[in-house]
Amino acid sequence: MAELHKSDEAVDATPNVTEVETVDAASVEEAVAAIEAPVERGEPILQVRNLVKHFPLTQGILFKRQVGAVKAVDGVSFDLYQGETLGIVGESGCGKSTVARLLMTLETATAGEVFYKGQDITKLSGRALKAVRRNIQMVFQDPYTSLNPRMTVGDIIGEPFEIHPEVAPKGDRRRKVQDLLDVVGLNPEYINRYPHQFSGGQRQRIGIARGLALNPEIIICDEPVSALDVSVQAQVINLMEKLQDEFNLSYVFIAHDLSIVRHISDRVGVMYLGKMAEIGSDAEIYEHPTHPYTQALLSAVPVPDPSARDHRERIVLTGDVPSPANPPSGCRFRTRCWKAEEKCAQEEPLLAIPTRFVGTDTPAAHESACHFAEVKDVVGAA
Amino acid sequence: MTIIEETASAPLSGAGDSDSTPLLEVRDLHVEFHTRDGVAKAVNGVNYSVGAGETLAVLGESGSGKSVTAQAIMGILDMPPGKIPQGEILYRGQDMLTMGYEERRKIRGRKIAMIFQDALSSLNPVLTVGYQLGEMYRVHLGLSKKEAKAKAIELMDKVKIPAAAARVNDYPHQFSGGMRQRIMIAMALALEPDLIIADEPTTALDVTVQAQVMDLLAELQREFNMGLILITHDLGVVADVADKIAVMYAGRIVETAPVHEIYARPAHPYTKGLLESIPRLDQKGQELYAIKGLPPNLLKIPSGCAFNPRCPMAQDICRSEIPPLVQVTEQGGAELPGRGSACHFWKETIHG
Repeated sequence: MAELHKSDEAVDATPNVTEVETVDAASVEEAVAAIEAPVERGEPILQVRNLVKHFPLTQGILFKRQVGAVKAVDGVSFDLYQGETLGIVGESGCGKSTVARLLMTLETATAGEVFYKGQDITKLSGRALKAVRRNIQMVFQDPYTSLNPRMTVGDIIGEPFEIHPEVAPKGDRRRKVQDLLDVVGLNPEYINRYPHQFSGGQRQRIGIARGLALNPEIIICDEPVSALDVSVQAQVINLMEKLQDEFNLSYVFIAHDLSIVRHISDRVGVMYLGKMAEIGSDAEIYEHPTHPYTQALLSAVPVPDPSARDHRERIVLTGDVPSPANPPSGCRFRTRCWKAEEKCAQEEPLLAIPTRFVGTDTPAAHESACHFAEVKDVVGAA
Repeated sequence: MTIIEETASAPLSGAGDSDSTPLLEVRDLHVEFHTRDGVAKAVNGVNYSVGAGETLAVLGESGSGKSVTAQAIMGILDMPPGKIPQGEILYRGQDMLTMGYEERRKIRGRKIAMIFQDALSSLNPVLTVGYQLGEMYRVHLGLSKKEAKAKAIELMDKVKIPAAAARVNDYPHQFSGGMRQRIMIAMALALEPDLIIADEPTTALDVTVQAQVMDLLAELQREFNMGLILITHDLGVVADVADKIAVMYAGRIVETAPVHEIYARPAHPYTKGLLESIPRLDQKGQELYAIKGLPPNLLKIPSGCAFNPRCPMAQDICRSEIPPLVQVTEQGGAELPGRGSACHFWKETIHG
């Protein structure tokens, strides 16, 4: 599959150029060059800083007044390193899908920055933005609604080439699509079939092939296996791991199934109500969680082992997630937290390594947004 | 080698219940759907039984016939296109398939109740929650509107909905997903039925809420000593609550076992494959075990064992002969109570 690899033509730029105004032609050239430049393995490829997305709540018909905002994402920061998989977990409504849409620039951020190879993609436009979009692709959750039922598989996978003709010249497209089908484990002769002729797992493979078409560097996977049957999930996860090695991809893997996230991720971030509660390597998060929410989440996961039924401690949270339109003051988790004190209502805990663990070499020394962060042993997802 | 399917005396009932007739017994049930493309055989000879206070988990992928069996028990199958060509569904020894419509209506809801997967689409959006909960009392017990509403508040308290009296006149959209599922549970519990069928009750919920709902269900089951049929595809949930398990594939039960046994040593390659495909800690970074291929099309189920095209152990016999559900024994020949496997090579699977 050599032809699918990126041809690295642009070399005359340093990868970490900081903010560039995109108005004059010279800086556009510079931005595009920076975007095309390769990034070393292990270097940050995507840096998210204080990302905010508020959806306005309006009242009135003709003169819409803004009466509030749904704070879907409210100050999220993280890095994605080249070649790694960053898992993002959290309950529905915590803003993880909005983060995915922001990274794709499908939504415009209210505030904050997303640096892709040093370029702030929230401020890019035109040619530079198009170059970024080619390199960040997405695999959607529902393989039944994310494929157009009136297009053949060949048209679906080949559509990205219409927008980015430089990747595949016209005469070459059909062969490229067939290569892609082969890469994701589908018969290349299926090119003229329609989506309804495929099962859920096969459709998700088509979605993955479409994501791969433009040789992206980052793939954002929003719940890629949750709509699939148990026996098919493992097949798709294996495929994604294989493709990551083959094409040197970086994944942002959003899911609510904690055991699958653990299997595929190098690092894991836990979100709660628009904020990152805790982030660290998979072992740090799963074995030494310091944030009470992570601990509750892990303890709630049913373990497929009946002998563990009687002697494992389960933290059952009371109540529901508060509305993101009117989040609690201070720490957002305090309304459901068993450790909450006066301080939690007044002072918002920052995402940082807890002071008591700073400088220590324990696995607990990872970023956690809690005033009272401490390690608690919970029997988590196996 | 006893063939369980043909012995009528229900050796599948769990260890917990006495030897009297089980609460519900399904015998050799077949369900098919007549469609334009042919006959889809959704259920092909299912046998299971549930006793009072017992939890049976029916495990299977989409299209395995687990929900269709439940709908047949409740009598809410769309007929046509659905059809039940043979089989019996015995509630306390009475066959529900042959009884009259009115008689069956008295059992449905009052004696056997169902909890559906998607609470939002199962509740009527234009009626208040209190009205919908009270309907059970008005229709089955003939209570007045006022009495029914008082009962509805009681029920909402029972399933731990905060400020029940204030929220009884709210509409379903005003509740969160977990709360709606509690209302569904309250509705099923209203008349204190003997048996509850829960069809993927927590699939649409988040893990933290799922834990709340499953705890509530288990607590209420203990309180009323109800039988519970839990239909799910989640092996984790099953391990937490079930007493015994029936694994379904392509409309047939391929394995039955008490919950502790099946996780330790499955006796059917399909169950084994499912268990092995769960990501485990020591396999991090390695390829996950995956069952190859796809679930079969119900319009053309493979001949012989339906699992044979995906099975790593398949031989010629698997392609020609349908394996019956047979009693699983210890290597020495001692019977393992409640265990059965529909595989020609169950011995190799469990002992080899």
